[in-house]
Amino acid sequence: MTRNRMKYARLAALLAGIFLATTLAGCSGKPTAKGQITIGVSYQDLSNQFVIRLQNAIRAEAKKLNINLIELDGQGQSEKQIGHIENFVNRGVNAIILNPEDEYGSAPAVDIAVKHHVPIVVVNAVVSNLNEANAYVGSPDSVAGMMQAEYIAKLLKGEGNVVLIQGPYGHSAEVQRTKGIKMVLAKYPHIKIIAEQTANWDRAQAMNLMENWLSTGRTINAVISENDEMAMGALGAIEGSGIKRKIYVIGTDALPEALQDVADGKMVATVYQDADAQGSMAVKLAYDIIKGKKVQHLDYIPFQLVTKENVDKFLKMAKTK
Amino acid sequence: METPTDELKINENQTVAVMSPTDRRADNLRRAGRFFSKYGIYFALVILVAVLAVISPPFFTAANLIDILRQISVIGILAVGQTVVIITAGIDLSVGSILALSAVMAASFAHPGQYPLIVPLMVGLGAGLVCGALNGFLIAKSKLAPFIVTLGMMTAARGMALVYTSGRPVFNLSNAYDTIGTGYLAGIPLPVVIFILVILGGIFLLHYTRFGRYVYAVGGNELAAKVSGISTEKILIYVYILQGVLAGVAGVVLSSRVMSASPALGEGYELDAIAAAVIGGTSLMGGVGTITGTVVGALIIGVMNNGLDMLNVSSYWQQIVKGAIIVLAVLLDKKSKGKA
Repeated sequence: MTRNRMKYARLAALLAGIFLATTLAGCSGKPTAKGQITIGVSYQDLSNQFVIRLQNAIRAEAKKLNINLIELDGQGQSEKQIGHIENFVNRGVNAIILNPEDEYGSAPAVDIAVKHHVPIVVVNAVVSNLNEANAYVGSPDSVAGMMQAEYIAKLLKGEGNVVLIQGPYGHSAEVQRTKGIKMVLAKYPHIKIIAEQTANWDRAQAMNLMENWLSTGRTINAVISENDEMAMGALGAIEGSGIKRKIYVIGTDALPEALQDVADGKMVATVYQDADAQGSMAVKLAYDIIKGKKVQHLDYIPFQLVTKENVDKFLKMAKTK
Repeated sequence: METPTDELKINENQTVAVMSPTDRRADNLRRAGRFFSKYGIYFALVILVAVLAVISPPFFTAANLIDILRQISVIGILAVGQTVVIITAGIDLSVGSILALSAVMAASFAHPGQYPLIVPLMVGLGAGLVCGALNGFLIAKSKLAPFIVTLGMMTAARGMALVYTSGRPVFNLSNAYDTIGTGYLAGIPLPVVIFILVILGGIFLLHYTRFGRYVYAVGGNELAAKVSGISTEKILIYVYILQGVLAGVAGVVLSSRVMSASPALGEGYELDAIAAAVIGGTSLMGGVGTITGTVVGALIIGVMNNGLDMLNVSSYWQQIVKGAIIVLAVLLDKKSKGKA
């Protein structure tokens, strides 16, 4: 019995040790100075590259304004984000920045903050109850989709077959981008969407999907992909298939790798979403609200279309980071 | 505990077989049933291919069939390892995450002009080996349930992949590395060649070596295996190491195929690998399963994905159809076995 108990005690001590060591290693471990402002940030998914860029911008701006950050990762689950906001409220943060995963699923998170009178700024993606939040900064995803579709329609001169590779169904960026793309293409009676399917933001899935579509033998003139990862997957499939006919591929996100593909003429364009401006603006808004200043409710940061003509500017920008 | 009843059942069946010499038709049926039981899942595949070939002619072309083989190669490599694991009455939920960790580590050594190709390959397989060995030791020595140990590894290895890359994909890989996933050998894509080698290796190991017999023995009845002098702990450790290394192979193949390694690579692949094994007749109770069955299971999944994409079935419906076909295939297999 005693031996067993000792064994358990040792095991428990080991577990506690691991836990302590990892939490210490995981956080930067800076103590909060008295009177320093603390902001809680809940991210939608820190394994997503765009969100990481957003995080870097938020961190940089917080450092500038001497703000202490508590950052939590929703790992793609809106119910986790609701827990985050409860946690922030209990810890008495001065304000909350929410980067919502799901338009409806993350909405209760805003309700909790409002109920406890903690200022909340929504960044990047939208929630259904945006009007309850103190402020929003982001770039409406439907506009990114519209820009993609407009450019493809221009290249196709209003005629051709398009395939559409979508994000995970129900993700707010997927819903909004699809809406934007279809709204524009509806204006062109001779452009047909001959197939549409999700590849869940994943390059390997998009590659398989595109191979399968190419195998059908139907003529595909353009690929509209709702992010760059999937666009590059489609590109890989096209290159592997040995098809010589030009197929226009367009993505969104302006990832460094995709920018290179645009520069090389493999991809016709991508859409740049300004993570830096969104992230720093979110922190500034939260700061102003804490200081009692009046802020604008909705701030839109414009998208930029990146084509071969202006890609150098973005490539340089990507390299300096 | 259950062995005596099992034996009883077998005896009953035998008596029934002996006692019905008059009814030849029943006998024929039974023989057909036995044949079907052995090849039930193969029929399911043939039917699926035939149906797709009829409703979508471009489906049944050499180019498309090769595409399918290439598309299932990664899941297939994982599934071969998973079959061996499941035969020992275990399960490995961590293969998708180990794949990602191996891929990002291998790719980080595969930038152009950096190291010879052998270095990233060894790093990738080594990462898989270490994770697999850790799984194996914990399962064999501490007697923890494989489900729990590999669930822990699934979370931890994914975390390590994210820490290692700071969440960013590794890209700009050397041509030599990319060739593994995109190249051909005598017209056959290299991932398929690797997959075939893994299949042959798996068949040899399971069916032609003492190790293979021990694997079945451990899964059939661990206690009996132990009593008869088999070092079950050693077998279990080797089995999980094998699966870890295969996850490393899969990681290298997948990252070279998509010419980049994202830490999110291979999410959910563990379930596809398990599904391939189970569709192919591997019993989750252990002791039963074949590599060829698993390959057919992987083919069914691959053919289904490819066919449904080509027919442009909406993703919403695809998920329902896939779920139904998986359950139906196993049901068909089980039914036919029950009759035999």
